[in-house]
Amino acid sequence: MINFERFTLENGLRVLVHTDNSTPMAVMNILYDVGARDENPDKTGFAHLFEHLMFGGSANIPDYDEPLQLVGGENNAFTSNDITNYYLTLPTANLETGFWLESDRMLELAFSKKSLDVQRNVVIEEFKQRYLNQPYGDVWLLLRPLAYQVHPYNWATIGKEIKHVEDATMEDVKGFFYKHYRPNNAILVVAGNVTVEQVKELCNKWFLPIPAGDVPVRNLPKEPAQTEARKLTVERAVPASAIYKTWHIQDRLHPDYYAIDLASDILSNGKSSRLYQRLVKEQKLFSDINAYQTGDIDAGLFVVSGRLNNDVKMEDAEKAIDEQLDILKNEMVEERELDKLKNKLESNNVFGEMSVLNKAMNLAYAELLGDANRVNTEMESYQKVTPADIKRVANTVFTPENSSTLYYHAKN
Amino acid sequence: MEILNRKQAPVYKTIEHIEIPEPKVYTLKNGLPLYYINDGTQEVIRIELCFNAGYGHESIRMQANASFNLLNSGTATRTSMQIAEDLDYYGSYLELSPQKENSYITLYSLNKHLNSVLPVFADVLSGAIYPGKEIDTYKQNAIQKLNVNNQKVSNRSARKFNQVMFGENNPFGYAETEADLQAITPELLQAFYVNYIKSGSVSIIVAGKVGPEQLAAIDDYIGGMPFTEKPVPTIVSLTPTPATELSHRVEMEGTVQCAIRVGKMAVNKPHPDYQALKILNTLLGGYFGSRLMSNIREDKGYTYGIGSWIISRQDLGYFAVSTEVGADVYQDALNEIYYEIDLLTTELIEEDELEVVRNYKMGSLLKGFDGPFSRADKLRGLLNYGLDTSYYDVYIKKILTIKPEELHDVAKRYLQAGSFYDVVAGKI
Repeated sequence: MINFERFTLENGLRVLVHTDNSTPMAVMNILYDVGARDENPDKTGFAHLFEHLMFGGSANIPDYDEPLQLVGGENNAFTSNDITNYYLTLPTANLETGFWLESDRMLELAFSKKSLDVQRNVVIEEFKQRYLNQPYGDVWLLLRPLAYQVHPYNWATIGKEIKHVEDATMEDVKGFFYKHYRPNNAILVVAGNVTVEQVKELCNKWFLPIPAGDVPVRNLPKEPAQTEARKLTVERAVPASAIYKTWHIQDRLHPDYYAIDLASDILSNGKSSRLYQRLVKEQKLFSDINAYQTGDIDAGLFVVSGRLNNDVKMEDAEKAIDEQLDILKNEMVEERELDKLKNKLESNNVFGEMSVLNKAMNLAYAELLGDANRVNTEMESYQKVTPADIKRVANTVFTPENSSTLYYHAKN
Repeated sequence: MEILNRKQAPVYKTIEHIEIPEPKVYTLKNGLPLYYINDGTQEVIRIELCFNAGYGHESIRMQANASFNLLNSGTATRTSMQIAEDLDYYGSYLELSPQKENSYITLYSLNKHLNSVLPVFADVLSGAIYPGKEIDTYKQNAIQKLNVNNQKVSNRSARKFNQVMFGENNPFGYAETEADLQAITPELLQAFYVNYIKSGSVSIIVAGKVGPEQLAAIDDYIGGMPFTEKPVPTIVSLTPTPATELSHRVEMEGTVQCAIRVGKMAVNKPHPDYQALKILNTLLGGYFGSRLMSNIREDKGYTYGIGSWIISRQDLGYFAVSTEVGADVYQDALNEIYYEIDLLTTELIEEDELEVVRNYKMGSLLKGFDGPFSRADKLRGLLNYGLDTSYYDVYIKKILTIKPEELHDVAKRYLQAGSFYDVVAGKI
């Protein structure tokens, strides 16, 4: 159970406070409701590049990191297709420094040319390090455009290509900031050894003076139902062939989300899960296999990916995956197997709540989804899922015409 | 109304004290101490066994690694599937972490299921049988993983760096091959298990909500096992036989980045210079605001990240820098790394910069002692060296009071130019 209080400032900034007196630290988590899905298709990778620029100094503070480190704090951030999330941890006594830093960069960035020039390079190196210079690193650069033809999940957070990052201009940066980085487009969570009164006072002092902005209403093209199986074959210099299969699923708020999530757990959560036991250990077709759903806010993907053992044919590997999906479609999951997965979820939840930062992030995300209290009610939603629900969603999701498959062949 | 001056930083407090309670000790039936930390808000428990068993105890390569990794592959009464199922059912996790010097076996459980998973944990610890079929699958998968990793510039530079620093036949230096993995047999694993795990040298730390009930349950299941406290001598010498050449290149076709490692021998935790060296290293490459990060990422944009470390082992310590940079700028990046290291030996650090490092480190230590698992990790780092929490009293004092002159002195003694090994892997 994560307790919290919620209030909204006049400029539209939503604030949540979670008190946990067991820690000497405080956490600030600011979620901006902007991600790669909000980018122009010709200027992709921008939300993420922008995240880097948020550390390049703001209107009144030349450097973000140093003043935070000076008071014993640490920070980081991440960008996804849906959101951009910034977080910091510091000794409670120095909480106000966090408010000073976060509010100044929400007020206005420094828009320094040097920062843009350097961070473009840093992001290009990140592109190389994570997507180009790793075996299998380009998989999502291939899969996204295969699975999505219309919706902006068509491209990865890092961008479609390095050139888009290279071409980013200061005009783009400024436009993006004033469009998306406004208080009425953000959720602030303050957690740890703090009081609601203290947070309110600090919010009024530092965040309230920031004007609200004219944040555009999101209106993204909906991905049409897929009517034909899609396949893509590539050859790469990797030691082992791999297969990646995806199917379109419902959005994050759809009631079937929980059944779909549990279906992925049945397949591959833990060493006792079906794909590991049957395809890795019994049939020895794969050295490694995974199933998960992407958890995106808009309609996402169910993914099964596996690395084939030497001498295993792609057709045989694919057939074995299909057989396991057929079992999900045709047979009821045993109650004990479902109980096991629910126990695992409960355990993850209890362990997850050991970290104040984790709690703060979950609150912010749940609030974005509509209600921070989802962090406390989601377990019930999972508990309600029945074997019949899983069979039903398996039958709707795992159809050939809904699938996109990437055959990733190892070059000899 | 008062106008807000956003240029003015709020006043802040320097952390000068960190609450570090001594761990409690419970004596198991076999006479071994069990250290425990009863803390936190959640009804969870973590039982960690640290075995003095590593690569120095191997009669063939990868024997230690595979013996730990396959510990859950079957017992007289449970198949690997049953072990997995019995732990998964209760949302419990068993972590097997073979490492070069000491290896770890860790159980995570909700308190309410502890009594259901302890029998499985005890069975695995005392009754592992290493079935041949399980070993064959493991070997096949491990070989594929090795081949994948060998395509990564970071892995290739790390492998070469270890060989260069410690010697190709040293337990810390060897880079395993497919042939090494192929040579593993059930008999070799069983032999290692019997000597170094089943009746091995262990220290035990339990953290989370730990009360008399949990301690008694743990004692019931593992308190009777024939463990010892005494360190086990290695059968292979750990003394490094470093390369004579300082610079090494691993040519890899078609990579768009190069991985760089730079390093040299230094000192380990019990040494009087270690703490000062750790502080110096933080300033050089141990946090986001470090000199290496500021120069090579934030000024030049050569990399997504760079860091440096002081790594402590039982009888030695070493310094290492690691980064991945654009293939076309690897020489420039290497020059900048040396420039920053050299600067520490030629110029005194300004008090302003040192102040940031002091406060950053204090904040990071405060966080490091927050929560039962973090505290258990810190305790582990002390027990392995026979140190107690007074180590941190000294360290905190050192962080708060160290002078630029002492750091300069340490830099001159440990980071002298011309004495570093460097390895670059990638398209050169």
